[in-house]
Amino acid sequence: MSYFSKAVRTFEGFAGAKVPQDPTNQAEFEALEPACDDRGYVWEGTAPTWAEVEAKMNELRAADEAAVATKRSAYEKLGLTEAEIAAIL
Amino acid sequence: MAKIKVDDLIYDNSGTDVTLDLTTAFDNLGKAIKIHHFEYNTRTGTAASADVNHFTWTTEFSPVDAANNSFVITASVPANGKSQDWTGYGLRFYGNTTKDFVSYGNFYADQYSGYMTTYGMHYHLGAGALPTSSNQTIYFRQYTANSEPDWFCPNSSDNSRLSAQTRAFLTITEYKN
Repeated sequence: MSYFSKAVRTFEGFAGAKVPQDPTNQAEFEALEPACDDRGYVWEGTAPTWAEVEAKMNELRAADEAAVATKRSAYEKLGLTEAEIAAIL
Repeated sequence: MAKIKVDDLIYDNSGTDVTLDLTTAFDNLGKAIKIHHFEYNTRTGTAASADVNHFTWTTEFSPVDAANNSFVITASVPANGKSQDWTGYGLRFYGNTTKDFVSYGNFYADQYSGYMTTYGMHYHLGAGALPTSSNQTIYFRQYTANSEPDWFCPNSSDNSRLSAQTRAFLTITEYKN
């Protein structure tokens, strides 16, 4: 799953971008083109840095993983077998 | 059912065989004037705010005669969902006037992020509904906040089953009855 789109939308001013592949560094992040040619920018105002976006991606990924771990823990406490938990998750 | 008027049939029995010329008859039936077609195939993410153009289908839509012809509009845009239970989207035609068609014939399914869905539409516009100028811009547009997916036109970055870049198509059949 790509966390890039979720991460950039958490920052103020994201106006949309063409993203053939998720960027992996500051240069690729800065090279993104506006989504629509009726506006010539990706960010309204100051763009976050790639480091900030990457940190947000990691934060969102960790939150999702924690949510799955919490579900698993709850099912284990209920006495479900591994096979049953795997079927639910 | 389409019917041909007897008066439109040209009947020729001057030779050995009897022939019917159907040209006039079919000219008077409804017919397609032109099929306009456009494609968009770049993975694109947009803002969550209202009144945002997601992407541009074309800057060269030139109806033959928008004042007198009618139009059947069909579009299908593959997307990676974003758990939007509801979505308000449509087309904006920008020419000598601006015409918006929000929530016209939309078909959409709510999907979680990471799951494929479609932003589609199929509808009819009568004569005079569209701008009449040439080289119009057509935008795929979000009219209400939080109507966007994670990505339009997802690709293998989203899931390996998308071995090829997904493509969106807009087909506009201009016709006259």
